[in-house]
Amino acid sequence: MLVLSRKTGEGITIDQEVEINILSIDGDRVRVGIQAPREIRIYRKELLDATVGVNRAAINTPVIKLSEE
Amino acid sequence: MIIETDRFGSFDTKDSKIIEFPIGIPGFEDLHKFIILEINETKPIYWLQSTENARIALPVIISFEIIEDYNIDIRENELEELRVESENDLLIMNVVVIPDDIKKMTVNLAAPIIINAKLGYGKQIIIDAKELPVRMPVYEAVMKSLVKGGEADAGTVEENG
Repeated sequence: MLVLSRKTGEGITIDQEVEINILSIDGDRVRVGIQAPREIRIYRKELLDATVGVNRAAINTPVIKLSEE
Repeated sequence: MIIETDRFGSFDTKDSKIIEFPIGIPGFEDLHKFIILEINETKPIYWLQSTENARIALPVIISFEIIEDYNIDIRENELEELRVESENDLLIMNVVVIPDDIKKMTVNLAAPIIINAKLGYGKQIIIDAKELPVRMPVYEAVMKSLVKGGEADAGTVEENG
């Protein structure tokens, strides 16, 4: 993993396509601005982790019966 | 092709289109082929059954049948990726988690599974939006659609966006 140290107002570009800027730092909270082409979906990592959790939990469904037929 | 499933026994896939998930789905990245099973007893919950692993079947709902005002933005490149040419070929499903207490079932609105039902390609996308929770209670909406389902004209589909 590449590790970089940045200050407020500094940024990172990825392949000149994605730009990540450090907007502000307040204690352990960092505000990050991201500019990327529309085809790149950006979401908080915990959403992916939660979706993995949901998908794995979903396969353990008990036997269910909803309709009468 | 006959496929075995733990939950429903064996099926002849000639009746159902195999949906290819080129990058798998989160949590099951190594599984690429699924079919949609419609089981009378569990309607309106369908099953995304892996044809490669008999044990893996995800319960899913067809969002527009159950969730009012479920608006998601699917991007041009995602439609291209799935080779969707007409919106009519697009099927959007959401995974439900059903615990032992069925009334506590939830649906993941943040991660719709978008499927090209005509050509058989699928992908689970993730949308970061406040109004799309990962675990939204859905039991009542499912039961409501079950009652409605008897009366509704299956041909009436309202399109969103």
